[in-house]
Amino acid sequence: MKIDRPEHLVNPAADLMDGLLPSLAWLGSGLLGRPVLVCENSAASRTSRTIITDAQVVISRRSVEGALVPASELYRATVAHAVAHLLYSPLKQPGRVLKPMSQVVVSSVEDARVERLLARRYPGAKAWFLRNLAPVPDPGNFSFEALMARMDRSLADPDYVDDNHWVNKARQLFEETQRGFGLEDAHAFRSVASILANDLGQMRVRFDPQHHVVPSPYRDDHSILWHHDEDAQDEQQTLSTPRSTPARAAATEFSQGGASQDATPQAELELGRTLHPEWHHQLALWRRDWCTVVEKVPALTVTGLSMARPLLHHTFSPVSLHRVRRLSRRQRLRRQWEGEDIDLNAAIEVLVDRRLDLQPEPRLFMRPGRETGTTRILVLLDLSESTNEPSGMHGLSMLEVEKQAAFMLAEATLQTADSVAIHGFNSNTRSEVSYYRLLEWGDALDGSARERLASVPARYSTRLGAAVRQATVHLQSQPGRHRGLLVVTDGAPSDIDVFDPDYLVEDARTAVQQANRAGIRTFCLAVDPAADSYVRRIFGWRDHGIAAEASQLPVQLQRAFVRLAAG
Amino acid sequence: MQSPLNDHLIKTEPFYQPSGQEIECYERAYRHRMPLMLKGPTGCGKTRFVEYMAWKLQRPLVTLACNEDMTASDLVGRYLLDAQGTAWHDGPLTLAVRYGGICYLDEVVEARQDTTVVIHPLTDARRILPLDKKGEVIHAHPDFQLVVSYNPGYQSSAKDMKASTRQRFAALEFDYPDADTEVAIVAQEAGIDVELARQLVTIAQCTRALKQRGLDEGASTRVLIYAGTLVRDGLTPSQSCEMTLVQALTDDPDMAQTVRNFVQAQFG
Repeated sequence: MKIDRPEHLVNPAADLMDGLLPSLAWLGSGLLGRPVLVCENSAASRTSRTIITDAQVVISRRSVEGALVPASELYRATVAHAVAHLLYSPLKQPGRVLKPMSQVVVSSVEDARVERLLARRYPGAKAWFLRNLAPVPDPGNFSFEALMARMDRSLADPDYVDDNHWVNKARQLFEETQRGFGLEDAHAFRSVASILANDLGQMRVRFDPQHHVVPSPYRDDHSILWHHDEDAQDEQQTLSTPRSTPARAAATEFSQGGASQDATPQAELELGRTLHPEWHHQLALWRRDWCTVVEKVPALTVTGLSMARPLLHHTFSPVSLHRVRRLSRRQRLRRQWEGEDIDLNAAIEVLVDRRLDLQPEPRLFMRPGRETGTTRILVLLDLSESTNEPSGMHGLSMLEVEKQAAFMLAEATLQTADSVAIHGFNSNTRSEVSYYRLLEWGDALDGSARERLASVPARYSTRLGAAVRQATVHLQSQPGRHRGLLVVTDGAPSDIDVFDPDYLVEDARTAVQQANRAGIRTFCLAVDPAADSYVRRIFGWRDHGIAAEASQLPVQLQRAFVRLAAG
Repeated sequence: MQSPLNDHLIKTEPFYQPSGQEIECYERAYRHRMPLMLKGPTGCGKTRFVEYMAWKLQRPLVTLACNEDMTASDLVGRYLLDAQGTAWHDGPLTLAVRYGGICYLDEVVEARQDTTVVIHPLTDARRILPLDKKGEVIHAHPDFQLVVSYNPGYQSSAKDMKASTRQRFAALEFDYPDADTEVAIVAQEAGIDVELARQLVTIAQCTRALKQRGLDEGASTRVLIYAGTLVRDGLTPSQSCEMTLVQALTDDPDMAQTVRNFVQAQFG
């Protein structure tokens, strides 16, 4: 398919950043040994250096400005530097006790210390850092920034020669401390930094905390090292995980606001209502006819081929899906070159031919043939309010990425015997679990399917169990033995009439077990870096995948499909 | 007597570095001829362990790699046509049962479930193998033991073992050895120095952290040995890792770049 780029998306730096984020997150997680998310700082003007938190590296696009190396190298060093802090730095030290200038010097010495420690484990990373250090300032420049840049370089690069007494003193003290106490002793290095900061004070070097920027673009803004009482809360708010929590809160507010904000309730075509039970895990009780699932076709708010708005990502080329082949006892192939049984008719002919001194036909075995039965997969999309959040991918929302990934999967299956249906769900209390039928098995992917998919809104909450039960009903009505349910979600099940966080998780778990017992395989793809805690509980230790980024969704979705189809 | 299994005897000691009590556990299980199941990720040493035990116990080892197209007759044998008419040919499993070998079914879940049920009568107190096509019942040789292996994380959901098959085995779980042991193994097997081996192991640990987050499996001990072997033979570490780790582990360009970065974090 030929893709035309909309004008506003043609921004090379933006494209590059989006393309790099998934592999940067992988790099960080691999180096750190535990999951870490790498994302872009959306408030780009606020800071020009990276911000690190416990589970995130928030890269500022501005750090690449004026860089001499390719952005990919700079970001690689950025992630490695963040990993160094997360592995080796004492985090959130009380910052009030130090003067601003001392704090900067202590932080810079800490940078050098953790980078050396990291280079012990990953020797190649040293070169990454060296290549991205701030350029050597003019030798006559004795400003604070210039001195810090020179100190950074003299601590990182053994070949660097500087004529400044203070810079050389920094290097000498650092090396002595490393020899005397070892790199692991953060405290000893902090004393070194205090001496150096004191010297700077006596040299009357001016320091302007308002406009200070860490000289090397790959280093972070040091906020992870310090704990300041009054702005701690503020920082937490701006840096809390981008999706789950605030989005959930928004969903709650929105649905409590009532349906008045709902622009299109009348135009939705209702197909029918079904009652489903729900499992109360604490009482071990089935609540009969507890949830009302309302099947709908969405109102067409978008017409024309708007779904053709493409996703511009290089990982988006559709993989070709192979036809899954299975052995079948019901078909026996006769007169084969090899096989598990002798084909008696052929064997008799061979013996007859021998007696007649004819060349016998060597194909005398039987073996089972292939079954070409189709696999029917239902892709169930989470259409809760939180999916309206930006996905960090070309300004698309999570919802749009979900829809397009599902659509591309359906398109890919056209070449195979397998087929895909796309349904979606959201919930507004147990009395209204909306279940949207967007694409049915074998439907043409024509304009109306695109319009339905493009029009379906995302709102309310995620009552997963009821939706899975409804999907199970649909799948059971399908012919064939190979049926699978592929759930795409971006957060834990929740609804505004449920206060026990375990309740809907447990209910969803029983719903998945029921589906499995009915012969339907299930798989869940969660686009939520913190999904471990609940997806595994609901779908089991094997039948789930976690995409840290929305951009990984299309590829992972197709992988999950192949996995389900392969059986 | 010349046993048809003589070719299956392992003559020289295979290198095996234990990472726990597995040798003793195996010996005790063998004493009772108990069927064993070895679980663990790919390339962590399951097959090598069986070879080592077969050598240690001086038993012939009949190895079968299972696949989806494998049928019961591939295991027990079939009739073939010769000059006189039809003649029965024992399959590998039947040979091991008749003459007392260790039969090792590698990646047993790759075989379809209806194929694996032929091992049921062998793996309980009966220890018999009925050859229904031939009308013969073989009572297992006293030395016969069945060992299967599989990789629980890798297979798709439907390719799980039936509960009725699972519960005929005692199981040993394998995992990648701890860092120091793995370094020793890689250094020994690839013939490289410990420092290089340690760097390779660190790369592997990075990739293992990405399991289920982009990679199906992290780098195995086996590919580390490959990487080391090529370095010993004269490739640069980066070239060798590009061949054995980066390209072998993934097709995804982003993931390949990530793994390449792990390599560069070691070798520059």
